[in-house]
Amino acid sequence: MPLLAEIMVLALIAYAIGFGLGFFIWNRDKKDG
Amino acid sequence: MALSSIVMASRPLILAAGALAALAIAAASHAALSPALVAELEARAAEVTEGAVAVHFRTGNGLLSRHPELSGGQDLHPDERRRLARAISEVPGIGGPHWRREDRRQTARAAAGDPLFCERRIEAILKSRSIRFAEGSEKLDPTSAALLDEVAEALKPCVGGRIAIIGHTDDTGDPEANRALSERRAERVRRALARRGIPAGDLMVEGKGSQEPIAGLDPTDPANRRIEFELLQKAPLVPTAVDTPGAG
Repeated sequence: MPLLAEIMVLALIAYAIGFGLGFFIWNRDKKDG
Repeated sequence: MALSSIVMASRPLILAAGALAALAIAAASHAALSPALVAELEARAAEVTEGAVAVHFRTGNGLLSRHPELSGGQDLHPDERRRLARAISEVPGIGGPHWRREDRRQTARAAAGDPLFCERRIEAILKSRSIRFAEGSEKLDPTSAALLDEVAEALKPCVGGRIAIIGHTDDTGDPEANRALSERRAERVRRALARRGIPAGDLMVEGKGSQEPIAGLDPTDPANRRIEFELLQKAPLVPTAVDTPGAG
């Protein structure tokens, strides 16, 4: 697999984890919506 | 709050924008940092191979890659080639090496120049591995299939010549039965190679039984049970325009 493709996949995975975590924390703070 | 309701409404857009930003950052980092990384990997790989094989950190399309393509080293023993590939893959940062498909024209030219080219390659293949058969029978052991693939590949440049497959046994048991068994085994190898693309007409079969033990070995040593290949007649050279008298 080309190096660019590997880096992009890693970036997307990191983004997805970051987005998911951020979303989770943001919703927890707003406990009751 | 107004802001949070706006955000909730356009969540998919924000998601997509974020993904694009991540990809853009990845592409920018690749452009900035990858050439130096690959140069570093090339240097480390060169230390491991010491020039025995060529290592290219590019994909088939020419893009940079962590997974090198290895080429050259056709004269090396297959175990040595495997050892080099494993050593390269163990370097931190390098991914999975793969061998380039052998340049057939180059090999054919080398074979034309050297009459013993195929014999030597087969000798190298069979130096530490042997074609195995079931005990006392001519049935090929399934583990020999990969080995026969390699032998067939090594013989391909010499197709058109005559190659003898000679079966040998050790000295235990009736000599006539051994001779017949060794001939049947050689015949099995011939058929196995024919199935792998070597014309059966090129292959001659001979069973020598226990008549020719390996020099220096006890005739009853099971290592004498072997298959040997011998080039009897080179493939005829195909004349090129340069060879033809009176041309141009």
